[in-house]
Amino acid sequence: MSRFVLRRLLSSMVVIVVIITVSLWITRQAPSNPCLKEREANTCVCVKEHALDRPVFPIHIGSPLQPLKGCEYWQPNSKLALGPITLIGLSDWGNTQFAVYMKTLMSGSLGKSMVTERTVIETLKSGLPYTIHLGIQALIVALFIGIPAGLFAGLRQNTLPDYSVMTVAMIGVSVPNFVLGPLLIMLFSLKLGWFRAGGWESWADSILPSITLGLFYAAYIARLTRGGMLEVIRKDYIRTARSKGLTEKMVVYRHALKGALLPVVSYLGPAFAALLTGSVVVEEIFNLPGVGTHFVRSALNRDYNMVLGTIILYSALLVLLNLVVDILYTVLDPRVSYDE
Amino acid sequence: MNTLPFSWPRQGVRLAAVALCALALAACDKPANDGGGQAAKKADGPAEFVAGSQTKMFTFALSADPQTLDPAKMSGSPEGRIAFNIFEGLLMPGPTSEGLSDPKDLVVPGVAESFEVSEDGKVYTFKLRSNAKWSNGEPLVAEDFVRSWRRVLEPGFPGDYAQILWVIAGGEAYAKGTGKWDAVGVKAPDPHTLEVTLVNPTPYFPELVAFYTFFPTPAATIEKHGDAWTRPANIVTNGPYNLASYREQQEIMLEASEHYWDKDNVKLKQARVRIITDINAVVNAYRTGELHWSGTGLPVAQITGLLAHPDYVKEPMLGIYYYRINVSDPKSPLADVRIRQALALAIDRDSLVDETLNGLYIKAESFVPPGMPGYENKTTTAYNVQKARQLMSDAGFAEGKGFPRVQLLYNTDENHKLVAESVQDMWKRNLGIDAELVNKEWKTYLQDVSAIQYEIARAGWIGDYNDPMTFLDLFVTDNGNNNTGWSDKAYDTLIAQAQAEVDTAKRTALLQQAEAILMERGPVIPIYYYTNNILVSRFIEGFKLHNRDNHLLKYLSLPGLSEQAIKE
Repeated sequence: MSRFVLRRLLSSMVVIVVIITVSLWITRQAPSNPCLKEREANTCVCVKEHALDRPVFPIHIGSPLQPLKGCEYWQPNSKLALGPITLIGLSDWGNTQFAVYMKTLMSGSLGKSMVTERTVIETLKSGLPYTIHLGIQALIVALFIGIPAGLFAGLRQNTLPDYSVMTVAMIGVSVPNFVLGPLLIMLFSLKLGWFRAGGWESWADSILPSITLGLFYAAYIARLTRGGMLEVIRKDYIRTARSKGLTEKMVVYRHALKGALLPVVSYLGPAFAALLTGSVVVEEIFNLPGVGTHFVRSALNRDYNMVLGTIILYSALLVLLNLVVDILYTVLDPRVSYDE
Repeated sequence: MNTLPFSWPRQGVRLAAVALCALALAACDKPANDGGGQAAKKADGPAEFVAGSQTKMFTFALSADPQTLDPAKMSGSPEGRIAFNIFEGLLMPGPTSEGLSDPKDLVVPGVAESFEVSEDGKVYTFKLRSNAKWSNGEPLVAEDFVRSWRRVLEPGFPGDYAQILWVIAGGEAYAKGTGKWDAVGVKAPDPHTLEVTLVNPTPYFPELVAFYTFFPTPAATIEKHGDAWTRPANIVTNGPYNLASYREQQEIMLEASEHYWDKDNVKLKQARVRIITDINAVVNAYRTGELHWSGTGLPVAQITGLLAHPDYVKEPMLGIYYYRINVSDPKSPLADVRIRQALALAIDRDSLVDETLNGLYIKAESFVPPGMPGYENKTTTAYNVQKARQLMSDAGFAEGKGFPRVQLLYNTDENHKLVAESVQDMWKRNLGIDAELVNKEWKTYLQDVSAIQYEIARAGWIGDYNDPMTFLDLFVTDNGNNNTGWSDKAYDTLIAQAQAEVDTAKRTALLQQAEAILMERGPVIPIYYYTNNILVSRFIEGFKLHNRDNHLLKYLSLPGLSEQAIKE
């Protein structure tokens, strides 16, 4: 087991390095750069100017009246001390950017945001507790609604209650959270006044966002549980259990439930990871100070350091949670073993 | 089926049914019951909510987490909103910009109790009050300003607005590393006197001094903590309020400072600043009584339903929404002055503003916004289809025949799209010109504009001070924000002359001539003047219109704050 974990951890490292490399490249492919602002700013200096000798637009070909200012490579003002990002240009990302970034990572830093005055780690640290709190609560919502609903439906296959529950689940899967969130706000904040419309000051503020985030997964888990139950309930060992004269309660709880929940367990890892990384929209709607908000904003600002930092955090979470699920598997299903 | 292990999921079904009904209810929110009674009253009346009823502390929204609290580095309005309350310049913006005839009335004394201007308008002598203090109780002296301004002028200082200090004699040379500090016109002959020498007579200098880039910053604290000096634990300020706490992306708490010289006149002792980036969330929080002031302007779609609410305020802004034209390519028809005029004349701004934009803005027929004390524009570009058509045919494109398809670029946004579609339609109808709408994400749009890789692009400009210069110097040949390729010798000369002119009347005349050139052959099509459409509790006292959105908490009060909250 420990050898398996070690092996998985090592391969995870490789995965993360690949993700960093690809992300580093992709972020530089996005047009524009962090330096450009609405008005000329002092935050970047042009290290390589170019006069626009190519056509200004595809339609009209001609040379400009006067040399126009343009900048091929911007460099953040040296006084900003940003960390890894030195030159912003496409040509040199390969040999210098990658090396510089990796070196910074090794020293335990993710650099400084190019927009705010905080370091990337500081910013992620301040957002992560909210995102995790929200993720866990949403998972609880998902499990507490999803599993009972799925079992209920699964044990009443092809009856009216089954269809009704599954219809609701279908709606749950189909309604996107940017619709559900505002609807919940309209009803519970604006109409009934039970909750605040956004922000995070007390636990009560996390209820609506958790439901908004968790309901999709609840619906999905309900479908998975139902499917699992339908499969298991016909298995030989269930028949054996029944023929032993066990009560239906015993059969379902003791024997069927474990097997029926396997698909749910294997879904939990990705689901939890998705809850953590997928709270971007919900955080925005409910004005929560989580990581997702920073992710979106930094992408729009081309805040390279911040984008990469968030991607590294997200991918590490994803890899780690999948590992945890694999280990959980051996606990739930004795047939699964990772030792040769 | 009664062998089943559960009975409770039946309740689950019931719950689900309730949830469904709830969704349906929320979706069919429109008041269907005209039969009177409580429900109808509640759904229809704009007075269904009371601002701030859920809070016992004065609360307003901030549209973004401030990128920095260092006044020397900041450039945005959320940052400014905080800086104007925790710091104080030599002078400060007054409560209102409305109804003033003299630009001097825009400012009130701050750290300086008075100032004098030399005959040639170039030397300002500020007399600092002796009881001005930092929030740590230390006295604030003239040398603090010298050091603060020097910091901004250091070569390579990463402040977006650093160049605004180049109005000071020798400032530009020092910032570019070619001049010595001794040659810079900021001197403190004694602790309570600050003498500033300017490059040009700058009538708007008092307003500049009331702007955050000119605010004092605590040298010792900055030296000790570096960039981290603005953290709540380290920050030292000098304004009416202290930064009591700061939760990233959530809220900032302000507390009246006990060391502030005018503390007796600060009525709101505390304020909560909620950071809410999503504009819908701001409206929601306002409706649920969590805010007294929306803080930021709300866009067309969000505000229309609230126009009748007594808390709605439309505040004219010192800003213009316009289209800029790339004139850098001589082969393009856009390089032809007649075409540019035709495009400007063919826009029916009355219908655009009143109908398309619900009358939320003010139509712009020239470039410098109205309401600027001491200035009036002399030229207009009124809607005139006949003249526009004539100009088109003079230029060889009668009824738009042979005119190439022109691209109209804007950054992705509902408002910009509305305007662009309307303009596209007017150009097609009135001139026979086909415009293709191109929307790009903000940063990509900025890149295209700054590299002058567009044909016609949406633009906006908010003035930095109440003087036409902040709008007109944009289009001087080498201005970094020109971005059109437009260069006009006569225009450049007029602006330079106006900059050097001491006589107010002559200066105004020069600026009016420059604006006339800009309207006649410049690279701009004015569309509308910005307004700030906000929600502010009608119970707040001291909230007056300000065209630069400067609403200092110092001027506000909310009588019976707690009683009101309890009553609701």
